[in-house]
Amino acid sequence: MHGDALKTQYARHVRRKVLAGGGLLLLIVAASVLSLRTGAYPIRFGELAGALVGRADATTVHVLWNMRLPQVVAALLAGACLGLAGAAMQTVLRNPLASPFTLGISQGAVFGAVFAIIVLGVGTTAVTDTDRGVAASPRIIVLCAFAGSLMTVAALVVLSSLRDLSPAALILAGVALSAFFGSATMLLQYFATDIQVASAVFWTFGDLSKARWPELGVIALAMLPAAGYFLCKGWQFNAMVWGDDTARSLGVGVYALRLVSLVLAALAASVITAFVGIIGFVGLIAPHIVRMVIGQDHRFLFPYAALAGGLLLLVSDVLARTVMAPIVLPVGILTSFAGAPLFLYLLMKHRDIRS
Amino acid sequence: MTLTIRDLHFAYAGDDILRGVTFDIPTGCLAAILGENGSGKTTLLKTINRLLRPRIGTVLIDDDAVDDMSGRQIARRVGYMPQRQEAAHCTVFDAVLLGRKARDGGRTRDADVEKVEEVLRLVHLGPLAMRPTCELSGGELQKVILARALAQEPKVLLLDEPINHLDPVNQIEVMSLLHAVTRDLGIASLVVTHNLNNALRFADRFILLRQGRLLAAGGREIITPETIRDAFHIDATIGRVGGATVVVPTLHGTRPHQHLAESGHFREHTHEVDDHVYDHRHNCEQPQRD
Repeated sequence: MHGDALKTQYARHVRRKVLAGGGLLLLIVAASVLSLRTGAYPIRFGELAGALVGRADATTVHVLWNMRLPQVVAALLAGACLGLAGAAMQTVLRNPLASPFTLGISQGAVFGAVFAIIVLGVGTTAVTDTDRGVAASPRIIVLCAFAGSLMTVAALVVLSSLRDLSPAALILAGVALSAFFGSATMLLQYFATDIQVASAVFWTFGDLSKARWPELGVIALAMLPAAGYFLCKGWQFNAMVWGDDTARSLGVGVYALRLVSLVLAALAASVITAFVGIIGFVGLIAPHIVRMVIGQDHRFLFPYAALAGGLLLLVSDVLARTVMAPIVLPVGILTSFAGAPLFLYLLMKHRDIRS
Repeated sequence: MTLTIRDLHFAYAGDDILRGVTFDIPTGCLAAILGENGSGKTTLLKTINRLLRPRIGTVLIDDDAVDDMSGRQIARRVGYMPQRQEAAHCTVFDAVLLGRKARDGGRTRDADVEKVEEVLRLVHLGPLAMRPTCELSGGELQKVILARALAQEPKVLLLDEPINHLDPVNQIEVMSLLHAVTRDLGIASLVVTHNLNNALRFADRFILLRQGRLLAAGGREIITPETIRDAFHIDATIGRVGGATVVVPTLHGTRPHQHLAESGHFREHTHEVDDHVYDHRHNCEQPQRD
């Protein structure tokens, strides 16, 4: 009798978590519709469905399929990658401040991009007033940014395996690497021309409109291994929450889980930085918001952190297009502005994050 | 014989922490590992379930060498309760379910849920199943950790100071529970504790360590003023209070009953002491009653 009651209670408990995911999906649909409609060329609600299947005037279809929809998908994919990466890094490093940004991965990408723009000389020939200094050879810049991120990941992995660094020490190593790449970037900029510096600085702005359909395909591919791995290992991540010794005593291969998770999360995050620039705080905040609602159950935390990251970025992107309209702000600026006070609020409100 | 330890050596940064420890723990036996800080108690536990790899030595569980087992195979045989465990933002039920799912993963089956129900009932936590662990008291949390280890269906249970931060009532509750599940489920349990009197009350065997060496191993008869002096560098009197064996430690040169003798509550030679006198006047370990 008591057993049945407990089974029912547990089923209800799981159902509540599933429903939370349903709510999140509904919010994403609503935010997506809002995002598709909002911009310099407004699309009426009634036109949306028609434009999606090509039954609207050519301009509306063009704007929807080539500008709005890629931007919505970019927000969802980038937010999902950052949310997943942040959730995984925070758990395996047992540090609520862990994220691609705090581990120096984003700064590595910036160094790579700045290296491409200034040293390799790509991206400076097409700087005009009309394209706001967008680099002319984005593929080379993206490749270099990706290489820069990988250098950070490789340095973290080598340091961790050579000296058996603790999770806390890895965060500090990330801070050191951030400082190193920050200094190296400044050094390059010091010897660059004004136009090169402008081009490099513009590249660092997180901007979802940089990514088009082919880039989005690459981002989705980069996300797949991380998402698949994290979703399969939910229980093992749950064990990591209780500490390394407990996780190992429960049969979890702690070192392998930590290493593979860091590499996959870093890969996903570095692809985002390479294609859309630096988007701070989403990877840090999204997992915390989800934890506050459903707790530390990673079977749900990973998919919901991905959804929450997407939702945050989607809403931020809509705001970036509207707060100073007709000026469109890079979304990275907005996430940083909104993310910093939100993170401080979480820090003050929640004891488990403070400690 | 469930647990067999043979000639276990462990060194860290050139220092020998364990120096040839050998003993056996049979099925259904609760053994207390006793010794002063730094004597190698925690290291001994961690070398048994391979959280630490010993330099030399063998650990056998039912004649199977732990050295030949994978992490998941060890998790199927050995449950572990670490020294300090902070609560997580998850329910009691999920925390206990982890004992089965962390190693196997996959969907939660009815058998898993039933096992969790069973162990929660054993540790009397059924009514708290859906409560977040971060809202539990210290004693309740320790029971959750014990339940999680039991959900692993282990043959060996390793507990590192499970009652260290608990009040006297919770200390007795947790030890009593441990004693009962060890006997009823046929487990070999090893518990590290600094509470000599609780150990004497609930444990069947005792393993005394000093500087990484086995000082003595055996039943209650090995707990004497001499072995206590060797293990802890303290003088102690062993007497009977309310039918239970009680160790009253003191510093060198001070008789344990000196203050009590002055108060008139303690009779020398007989060592008969009123419980309340110890409880209130003597700020050391509590006497226990069977």
